[in-house]
Amino acid sequence: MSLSKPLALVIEDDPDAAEIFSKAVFDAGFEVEVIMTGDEALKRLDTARPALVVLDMHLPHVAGTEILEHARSSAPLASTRFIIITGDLALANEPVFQKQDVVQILVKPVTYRRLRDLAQLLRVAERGMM
Amino acid sequence: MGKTIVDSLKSLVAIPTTDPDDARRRRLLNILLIGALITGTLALAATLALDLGGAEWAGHDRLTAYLGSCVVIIVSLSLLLVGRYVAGWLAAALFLVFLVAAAAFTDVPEEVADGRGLLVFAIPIMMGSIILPPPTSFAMAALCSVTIAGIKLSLGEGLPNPFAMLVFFLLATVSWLAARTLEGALNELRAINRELDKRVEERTRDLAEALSRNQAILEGIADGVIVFDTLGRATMANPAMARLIDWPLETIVGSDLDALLGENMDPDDRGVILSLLDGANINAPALKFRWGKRVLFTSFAPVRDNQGRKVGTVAVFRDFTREAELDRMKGAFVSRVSHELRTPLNAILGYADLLKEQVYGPLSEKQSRALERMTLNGRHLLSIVNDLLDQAQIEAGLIKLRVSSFTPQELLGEVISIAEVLAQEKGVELSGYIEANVPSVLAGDRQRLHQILLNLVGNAIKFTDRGWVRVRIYRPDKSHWAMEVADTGCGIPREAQPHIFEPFHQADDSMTRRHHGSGLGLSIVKQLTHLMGGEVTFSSAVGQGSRFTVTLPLVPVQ
Repeated sequence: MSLSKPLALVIEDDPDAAEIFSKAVFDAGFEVEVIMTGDEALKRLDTARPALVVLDMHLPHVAGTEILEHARSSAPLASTRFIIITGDLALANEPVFQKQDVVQILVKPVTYRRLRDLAQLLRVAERGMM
Repeated sequence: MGKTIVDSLKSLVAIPTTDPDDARRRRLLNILLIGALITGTLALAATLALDLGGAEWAGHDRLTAYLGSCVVIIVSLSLLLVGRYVAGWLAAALFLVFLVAAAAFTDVPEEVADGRGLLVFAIPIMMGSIILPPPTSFAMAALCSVTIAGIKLSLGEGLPNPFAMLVFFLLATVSWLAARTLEGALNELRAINRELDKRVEERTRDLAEALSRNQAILEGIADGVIVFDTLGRATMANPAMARLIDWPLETIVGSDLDALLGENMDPDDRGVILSLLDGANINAPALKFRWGKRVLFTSFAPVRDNQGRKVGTVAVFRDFTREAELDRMKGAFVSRVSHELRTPLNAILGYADLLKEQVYGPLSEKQSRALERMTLNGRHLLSIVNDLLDQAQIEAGLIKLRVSSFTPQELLGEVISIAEVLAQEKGVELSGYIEANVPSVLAGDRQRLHQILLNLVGNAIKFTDRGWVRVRIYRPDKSHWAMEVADTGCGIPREAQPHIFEPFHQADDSMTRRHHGSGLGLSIVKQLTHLMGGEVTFSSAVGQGSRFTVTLPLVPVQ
């Protein structure tokens, strides 16, 4: 892990969206790793220690909520921040999203600037905490 | 053998006539003749018995007895035959003459002409008015008078008794009056009867017609119909019902609703439907429920008698399976298409955004403007797709409210911050405030409320070129809260007002061209508001702006 750049996982099945999200997160000062499937994401979250996870809720095969719950229940990921990308704001009412300090929700369409600024904010906040 | 005698007797007394008076008289005559026949026969038998028993006979008594009874038998039989085969009136007349003749021989001539024997003549006189038309009594009185006069004169003992004759005629008058009254009454009765018969026939015909018409309707319609009595048992059902639930028609009748439908029903639906059957209310909305693999639509109506008492319930069932499936497919299709549309749209917007943010290097002013147009149109397209999806989901009943607690402050803040950009672009002043009596925390579907308010505010800004748009959250009464969006925009023409909540509707086409939109916004607002148990109202006049108010029930926060 690079000292200057914390790791961010971008979990997104759509390659275009993945590219835009990675660009934004990269520009916010993260090292970015893109994961295109839910299965892969679950596997990667067992070993990786990302500071930020950008998660699209609408993945094929594995529900975004499942990935989030999996990650939230993992002790090594306790300080990981999450940005949830969803088309359905109603999801925001699900209990798993109620941890507003750890989980941020962005409703599609997610602009480059919004994601970049949010990621940057989280990175600064995290640095402040450390 | 016995049968043939009875039959021939029956045919003997049969009355071939269509005149009811005549028939009645001849029936009486027949009774009298049969009576006479029986009396004659019994008298003959008694005479024979006495004779064989060795009785002592005085003078001509024996001969008289035999002769009398035989004459009675022969005369009554002959008269029956005459009445049957020649003419009833002739038989009656002959019978009367016979009675007068017989009366003349019932006693010694002196008594017959001027003594106790006179009494016997009352019989033919009175009977005349009964077995022949009433005036016959007078003819009989005359005949009897002639008879007694003849006897008296033949005895050569003075003049006939005028008082007896007078009494004969008085008796005839009384008989005539009585018979005439009777016949009059009978005629009236018959007229009444005929009228009643006619009415009964008419009513029966009308009823039969109505019944057969109703039956045809019942059998012809595609909806299943069952009529239940007050105990909840089916008293009738139509063939469509039998087809719908696949029960033989005969077994449906007598069964109760629970036996007919309960098995394949969701317990909740079952409860609702049974309670509907109990208190069938004409205003109760039709109910859609799953029944096995089918979706049925049912409504109930009470059956009342002419005093307004409930005597049963009619239940109508419509097979909604196909429609429900189509609705579901439509919903699935639209949501699929929307997703397929949104993914590339989001990508386009995303890349445009990257370019606009100059992530890939600096842009010329022209490039920036082109990108701006791309983004604007892309967003517009996206909002249309979103609206279509919402509309389709609402129509398919797929939208479920997710109630949680929220603060009106946040709701208003979010909407204002999003709409602010639009308002600034148009130079419209946007403001919002919350009145003090609104609870700081409310319960509701935050996202849908957000959608409603943003739709209204977005609309207001869209149709306002100068002036302001103001949002007010307040509490119209104890049990409601409301969001009001007022603007100083162009207003809604009166003729367009009834239609503004219809899907794909904007005040006019020129407006649609000027103010981009799917035309679904207000329709979605209305449907979402209804879904929340609220109401949306507006007041507007051309040139004076519009004011939309969404009033919602105040749900306690849990």
